[in-house]
Amino acid sequence: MDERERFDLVYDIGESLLKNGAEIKRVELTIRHVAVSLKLKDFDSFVLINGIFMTAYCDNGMVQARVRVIPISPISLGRIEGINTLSRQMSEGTVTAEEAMARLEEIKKQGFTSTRLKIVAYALGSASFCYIFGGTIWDSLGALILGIILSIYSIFILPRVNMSKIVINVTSSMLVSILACIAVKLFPVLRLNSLIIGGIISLVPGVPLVNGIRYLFNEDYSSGWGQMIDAVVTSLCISVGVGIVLQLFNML
Amino acid sequence: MITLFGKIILQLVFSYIATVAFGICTNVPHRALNACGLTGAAGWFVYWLLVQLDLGHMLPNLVGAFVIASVSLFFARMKKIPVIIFNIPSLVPLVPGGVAYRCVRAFVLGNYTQGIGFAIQVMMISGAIAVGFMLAQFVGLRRPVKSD
Repeated sequence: MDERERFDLVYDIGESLLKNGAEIKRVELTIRHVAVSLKLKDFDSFVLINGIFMTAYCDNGMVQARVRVIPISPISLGRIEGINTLSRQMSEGTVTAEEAMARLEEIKKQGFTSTRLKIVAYALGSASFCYIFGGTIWDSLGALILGIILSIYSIFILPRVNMSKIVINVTSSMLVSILACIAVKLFPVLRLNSLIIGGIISLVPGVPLVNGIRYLFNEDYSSGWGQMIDAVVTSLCISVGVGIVLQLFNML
Repeated sequence: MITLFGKIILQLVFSYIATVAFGICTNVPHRALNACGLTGAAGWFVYWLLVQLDLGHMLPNLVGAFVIASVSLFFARMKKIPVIIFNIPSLVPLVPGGVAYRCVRAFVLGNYTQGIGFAIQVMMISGAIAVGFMLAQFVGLRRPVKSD
């Protein structure tokens, strides 16, 4: 493998980590270890929440550099674990660069859970969050059904239409709140607020918000603000979706 | 007494299920799911207990995050899996996602005063959680590894 391919491999590893939601510190440490194990000289990197800058010296005295934008995308923790194991084995020297490249492609394509299990997870998650956030058992039953419908919408319909993140969030939250309004009209035992909170919990950006603050505390200001603004925009979209529906519902 | 006991059991069971469900949604490897659920249930239980004792929101969140970070460090070392796999799903019950949504909803519906109240609450809670995590780093300081 020549120098350039090794450099690209390091970039690929960093990009996959960042894309699947690893923390900035982890990405920085991992690519540094991998670069050492691949014998890249004077390797330097600068990782942001949505991009990686990397440079290294070549044997012929030139400088290799690479920059690319990596949009903030949904978390996939299983891939982070896979890449972590891979990078540890590379540092130990038990995996060669060619093998690592093949393994990385495998990790990128790996599927983790069947669709059915995912729908069950969405449903049970909505129901239990509804309960622990102060809903009654009836509310969580309602949220269970909302969770199933939202998961079907986001697993089967969304990948077929090419929409921006903003439109996805607005339409998903509108769907949840329309259904919740209908449910409350039909069964007056249910409480609208608990139902909606349970239904949209899989959309709400709580973890990014806390991660943003943690980056700020780690003196990583640009990434911290980036992450927090992303979370604020997401919750803005969700609230707009819910707000429109609620106002229409109140007018009826 | 029995109702209190039943409530505690229900809280534990539902927070366990919630964490595992979120773990499945974020593709946590299946061998780590049980540990994820236990971490989430422990963190949420401590938080819930302190809220029941009328300690406001800051302290329960701080202690809850501290418990989550320590327990997930423990599991991470036991199973040799990165900490982030355990602490992201188990944080979900604690993080102020619901409050953030309510805050922006208040702004969208025109209740500005209420919205500002919620916004400050969001900042304080996320700050408390971040501090809880930082405190746990001191607990989890690695013993110096022997160099060979």
